[in-house]
Order: sequence, then C-alpha cells, then structure tokens
Amino acid sequence: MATTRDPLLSRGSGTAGARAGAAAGYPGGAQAGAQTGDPSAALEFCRVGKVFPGVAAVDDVSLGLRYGEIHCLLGENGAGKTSLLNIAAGIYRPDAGRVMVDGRDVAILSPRRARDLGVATVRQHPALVRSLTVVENMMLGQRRGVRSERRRAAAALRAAAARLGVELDPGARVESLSIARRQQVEIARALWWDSRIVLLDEPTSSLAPSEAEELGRVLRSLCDEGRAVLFVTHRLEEALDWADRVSVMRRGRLVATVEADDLGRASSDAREAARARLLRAMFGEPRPVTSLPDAATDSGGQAEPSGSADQSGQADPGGSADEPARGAPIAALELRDVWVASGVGETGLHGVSFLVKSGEILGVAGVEGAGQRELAGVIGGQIRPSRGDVRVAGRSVVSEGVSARQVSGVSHLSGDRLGEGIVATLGVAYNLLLKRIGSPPDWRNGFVRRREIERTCAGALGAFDVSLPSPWVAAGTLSGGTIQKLLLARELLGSPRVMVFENPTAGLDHQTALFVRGLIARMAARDGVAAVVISTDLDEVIELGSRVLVLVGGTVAGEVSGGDGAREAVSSMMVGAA
Amino acid sequence: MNGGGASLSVPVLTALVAGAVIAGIPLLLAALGEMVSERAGVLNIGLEGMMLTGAFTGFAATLHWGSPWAGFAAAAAAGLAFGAVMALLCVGLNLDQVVVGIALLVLAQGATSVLHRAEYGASYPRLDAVPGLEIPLIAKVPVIGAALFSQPLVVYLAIALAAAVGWLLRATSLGLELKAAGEEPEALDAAGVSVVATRVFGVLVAGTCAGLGGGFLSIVAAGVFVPFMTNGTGFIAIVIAMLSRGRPLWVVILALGFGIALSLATALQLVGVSVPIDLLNALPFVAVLVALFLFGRGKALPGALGRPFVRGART
Ligand SMILES: Nc1ncnc2c1ncn2[C@@H]1O[C@H](COP(=O)(O)OP(=O)(O)OP(=O)(O)O)[C@@H](O)[C@H]1O
Ligand SMILES: [Mg+2]
Repeated sequence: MATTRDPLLSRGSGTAGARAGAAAGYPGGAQAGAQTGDPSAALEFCRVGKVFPGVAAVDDVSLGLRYGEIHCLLGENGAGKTSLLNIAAGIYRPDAGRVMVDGRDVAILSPRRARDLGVATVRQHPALVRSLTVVENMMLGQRRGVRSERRRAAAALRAAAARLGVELDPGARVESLSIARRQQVEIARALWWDSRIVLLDEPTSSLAPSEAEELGRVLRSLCDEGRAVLFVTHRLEEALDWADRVSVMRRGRLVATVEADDLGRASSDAREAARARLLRAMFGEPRPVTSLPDAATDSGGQAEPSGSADQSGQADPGGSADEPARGAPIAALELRDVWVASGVGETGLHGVSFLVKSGEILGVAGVEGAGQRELAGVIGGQIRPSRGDVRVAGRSVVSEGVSARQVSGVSHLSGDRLGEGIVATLGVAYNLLLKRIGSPPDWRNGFVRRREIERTCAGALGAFDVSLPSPWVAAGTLSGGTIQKLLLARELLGSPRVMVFENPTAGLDHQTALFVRGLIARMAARDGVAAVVISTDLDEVIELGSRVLVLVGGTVAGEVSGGDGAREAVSSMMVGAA
Repeated sequence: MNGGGASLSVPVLTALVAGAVIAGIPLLLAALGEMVSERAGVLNIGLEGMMLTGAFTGFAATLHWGSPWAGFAAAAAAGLAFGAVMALLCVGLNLDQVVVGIALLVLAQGATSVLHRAEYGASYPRLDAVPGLEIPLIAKVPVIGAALFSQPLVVYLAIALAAAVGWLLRATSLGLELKAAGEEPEALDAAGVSVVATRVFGVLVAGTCAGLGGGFLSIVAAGVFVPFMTNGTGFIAIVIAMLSRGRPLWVVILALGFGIALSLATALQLVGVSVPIDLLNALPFVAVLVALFLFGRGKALPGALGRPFVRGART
C-alpha cells in the first residue's frame, strides 16, 4: 500500500502536464490513512517547537500526516495552528525538533524548498499579488517567457478550477476578487504544482455552506488520489464530516488526536460524544455559561423589535431615534433603491431597498460575491451608491464619508481584516483606539495616557478572553482570530446604533463565535442597535436575524422570516436564481 | 521672452534637438535602471552617485585605452560594483534604503572629486569627440535628420535598451516577479521565488544603467570629467522612473523632454535671448515640478517600495 516513493510522483516539478501522470501514480484511496500497520508517512512533525517573544506558539508537537488521509487540525484562537503550518511551509524555522517528509529529515528553509518537496500551503490570508491577474500569479516562479506560459497557465487554471467546482477568470485582477475567490486561486495553484501534501489554513472561514461542501468534496478527491491533506478549521462539523483523523492543539501543544473510528460516524449519539470530546480537548473543561453575556443563551432572532428599543438609561447617541420609537418605531437604517455599478469582479447592487428598525437584526445571506461587500460598503460609507438613498434614523447620510458616518452612529466590521482592519505595525492598544486617537480619557491635551489606555484596553478586550503578552505588542503579530476579536472590541467601543457585520465570526473559534453571536443579539435586544449581519454562514444568519434577506447577483431575491424551514427557504433561494 | 523669433533658424533648432538628445540619454539610461529597481521594491536614492562613479570611471578608461567602448564597459562595471554594494546593504542586510542611498551618494561625490584631483588636477585632459553614425537617407532630413540620425551609436543602443527593458517587464516571468517583489514580496516568496535574488537583480540593473548613463555624460556629452558634473540628473532620473511606472516608452519621452529643458539654456544663448543664466539652469527642476504636478498625481508607487522583506515577520 505504502508506495510513497513511487518514481512516478514527480517531485514538485510544477508543470501542469505532470499532474495527470503523477495522479495516476498515487496509491490507494481514503482507506490508506485508516489502515493499521505501516502508515504511509507523508509529513511528520517530531517534537517541534517555536517560540515568539512572550509566547510558545508551538510547544513540543509531534504529529504525523499520511498519504491518502484528510487530517483536521482544531484549536482555539492563538493555539498555534498557523504557526505549525508555517513551519511546514518554510516560513518559520522551528526552534526545536525535526520535520520529516517521506520519512526523510528535511530542513524546510524556504517556501521554495517546501514547494520542491511537494508541500503546498493555502494560507489563512491568501498570498497572492493583488495587482497581478490570477493567471500571472500562477506564473510566478515559472522560468519561461510569459507569452507561451500564459496560455498553459490559463489552461491549467481552468482545469484546476473545474476540479474545484468553481469558476475562476484567469484574466481577473486578484484585487477585484473576494477573499474566498483568492483562496480558490491558491488551491488551484497547489493543484497545478502537483503538491502531494496540501496544507490549508482555515480554508472555509469565508466560504458559503455550498462552497464549503464543494471544498470538502475537493479535499476528498485530493486524498483519493493519494495526496495528504491537512486542514485547519473552526467548524466542528467539518472536522467530523470530512476528516479521517482529527488533532487538537491548545496553547501550543498537541493535546489530542482522534482516530476515524472515534469520530462518531456510526450513530448520532456517538457523534455527540465525539463533539463533546473535541470541545473538551480544545477548550479544557466547558467554560461556565455565566461568563457569557446574558443574551447569549436566548437567541437574538426572537427579540421583539419594537418593545425593547425605547429603554431609557442607555447611552444612545442622539435622542432623536428614541422619541418616535414609542409609537411606530422609525427605521434606524433604511436603504432606498440603492444602485452600485458593477465592475471587474464586482457584482454591484441593483436597486436594493430595505428597512431595519432599531433593536432588530437583519440577516443577509447569499453565495460569496452576490453583492455583500458592496452592501456593507454602502452602509459603512466606503462606497457611494450611484443612485438611491441611505438613511440613518430618518436622516440621509448618503453623502457622508466613513468618519462622518461613524459620528452618525454607523459602525462597520469589515470582512478584510488585514487590509481595512488593522495597522499591523501599531500596538494592539492603539489599534483598539484607532478611531478615537486624541480624545479623552485616553489622551489629554494631546498627550498619551498609557495607564488610561491600558485600562480601556483591558476593559474592552476582557470579555473576549484575549491573552496578550502586553497591550503594546504589534497587532500584526496576533493570530487571525485574535485580530478579529480586536476589531469587534473596537467597533463596540463607539456605542453605535447601526452596525454592519461582514462575516462576524469568520476565523473565530467555537466558543468565541458563540460569544460574539450572543453579543450581537444582546446589543440589538438591550441597547437597541439596528444590526445587519452579512454572512456566508447560513446558520449564523438564520440564528441571528429575525428576517433574512437573500442577495443574488446584487439584487434582493427575497426575504424569509426566521423560524422553521427558514434554512431550506433561504438556501433554495440562494441557489435557485444563482 | 521677446525677439529671437527671426533667429530661430534651422541650425539653432538642430542644435536644440541634438542637444536635447545628448542631454536626455544619461537621464534615459539612469531612469531605466531606477525603474527596474523601484519595480522590485528598492528605492535607489544614490542613483546620482552611481552616475558620477560611472562618469569618472568611463572618462578614465577612455583616456587610458583610447576607446570609448572601453570607457562604456568600465562605466557599466563601476555602476554594477556600486550596485552590488547597495544590494548587499539594502537587500542582504535590510538596512534602510534612503539612508544607504544618501551615504553612497556622498561617498561617490567625495571619492570621484578626490580621485579626479589626484589624477587629472594638473592636466585637465579632454577626450576626442565620439563620431556620429549617420543613418543613410533619413540623416538628410532637415533639423530632425541632422539632430536625431547622426548621433553616436551608443544613442541608438540606449533606445534599444529601453525597448529591451520594456520587453523584460512585459513579456517575461522575471518581469512579473520584479513587480511582485515590489508590490507584495510575501506573495512572491510564497510562490517559491526568492525575493532577495529578484531585488538584487533590480538593484544591479539600476547600478549598471546609472553607470552607463554617467559614462555617456563624460565620454560623449562633455568629453571631460568635472567633479559633481551630474548636477542633479540622478534625481531627475528618479522622478522620471516614478512617473513612468514600468513603461519604458514614457522613460524615453520624459527623458527627451527633460533633455530639451536641459539644452534650452544653450540654445537660448545661441539665439541671443538675454535670460539670467541661473534662471536657465533652474529650468530642468522647474520642469520636474511641472511634470510631477501634471502627471504625478494618482500614481501609486509599488506597495512595498522601500520596505525590507523579512520572511515570516507579521508586521
Ligand atoms: N511572527 C510572529 N511574531 C510574534 N508572535 C507570533 C508570530 N506568529 C505567531 N505568533 C503568536 O503565536 C501564537 C499562535 O499564533 P497562531 O497564529 O499560530 O494561532 P492560530 O492557532 O492559528 O490561531 P487562529 O485560530 O486565531 O488563527 C499567538 O499568540 C501569536 O500571537
Ligand atoms: Mg491561524
């Protein structure tokens, strides 16, 4: 079975033509991973360690990945998953331990070496040159004239995209693509390189359920060809459904590896047990529910839209919204026939209208690229519609820019964390206060008050269970999920009355995702915030939203009110017109 | 500007255009190199110093061997060596590009002045004029023919070099990699291409081209070496590189445009227009400001220009 050193396996030749031949040379099927005896070791970490100032990101981890298996890596935010993958990708050098590929001790000193060894990594934040086109990105590192190569690369891309079940335009500039599309490009590139070991860091965090399912099938076909697949996820269901084995990391250490037999495929009871076991491994003993905000347990979808809005004593900026709320509540956010021109790789918006009352949560569902980014941008102020009106508490804000909208009480959690979200070189504390630099109490007469800032920082981040070496570490060094927590905390500091969330829990671990959903529900129910939750995670949209709007190709295809059957209704609408 | 209309004769116009070409070629060469380097993410503030070094070396070699080609080879080699030092400091050791650039500029200015004094301070030798190469038929066209098509061979080679660089950037994967190194080195690294090698290549190209440009200045344009003779052309070349953003055609156009501004002083004096000489000497730099104002807006420089690349650094 274990013919891993098959000469047919071209070692990272990187040519499209080699793919078919090499694929034919792969042994076995999915069972290879589950079989006992001589496991076909593809990639092995042996007592690997990596330390950063103040944290042991990876601590004495031993983990073996076999050909023909899908291995899932779970762990809370900051557990060290990305760091471990980076070691195999040649980006970080381990401080301790060894890495073996095909049973040979190898020093993966560069991404080039990783590629030559047949290890491809799809990173959490896609590593593509944004100003180049998709096909030009594929051609980097190909030592030939561009002209001839362009055609070959485009053909290879189309073939790879077809296998992924996605449509990729070779001539599209990467910057015009959504994050999900960029990820797909990277997976396609790994296929083109014919990498025998494919590592994926949170590939599904920004995919819609249908796209994620598609990816699951792709991963399965990769492993049926005999490749080894390791993927990181925060979605337990994917771990249980897709993986042959599941490993769990916690605070830099590998704390559990669960074999296929114990993943609960047999019965739903067994599945529950497997879930509980994985959760316990990830987070230790279940966190007491009381540490979650009170609304976290009662779903926000059921919050009465009108009754809870006019509570007094809330620090609601501008009383105008409260007054009419006693009678017929005035819409906190209203879009009237909003149009945004479609551009390269952008869907645009075509006559979108809706109302969100204060205290109400509107869910927005749709497959990736159905106009979500445009919608969020129009509300947040980054995109100016070519036609139509955006009103906050009855007042038109369509001519206001981002900062003026913030003053008007609109806050926007961007989907592009690294790009729009944070200043990577600035400390966490300053990033947290980025939108109010210079204002009291953290600044006085233009002087920084570090004590105050530390206190604000601790207060804002406390609820999110973020452990930092210090509030002054550069925000760019944080793990993906921790950055997301930081951004959420920042948006909450401004006590907004209209909030737009783009994929609010993408990249957050299970516990934190629950917490954030609870938080959104509470802000609506208790503080009267009008929230728009745009997410490719259908369950999230339905759980949170009292109504769900379905976007298809930049138009509103329909509206579904929450409750039974909502999921089916929404998903058929998403697909029906797509 | 009054009078002179009548005296703007054919010989004057010819001299003006020919002078513009001669003044523009050093700019063209240096800007081409700088463009490649900037594309790869390395800002070469020391370009002027590399030109000066090339000018001195080229002059000395031509004098020694009696052949301008030996001079150009020496100028290119000197620029390449200078580029290698810059590559070591900025790409190898990740030192700050602006600081290194300024240091190298000052070093080159000092070294060439001292050497010039030591070697030629007493004699002030001059080089023979480099003969022009008349292109049959078109060289006979009035003004344009005499000005453009009876220039030394190097002039045509420089234009050909611009075309070659254009092809390199547009039609080879190395061209894509240079762009990637300047825009998003992390992505290039992830694609398995060495960012260091790509950037070193860019810096070496800049050094070589600047050396050649300086050599042209002393061997063809002036026929002598004078300390500080580049007189700001290196900085104008940086502006040209910035404005043309990877399009060599623009480098040619802008270099010749600035060449006109540089040679206008001489032409106007020939015509007999009385404008203070200092004002005329300031003309190229006024032209820089005008050009920046007209074309420089909305020009985004490469995203990682001036930023050292450290693999795995999260900031
Ligand atoms: N380059 C770096 N410099 C400093 N600290 C780092 C660096 N890379 C990782 N760390 C730290 O190592 C720890 C583990 O980070 P890592 O990104 O591996 O977590 P993760 O498991 O991928 O989390 P997430 O699920 O949020 O993506 C974090 O505390 C992080 O701040
Ligand atoms: Mg991560």
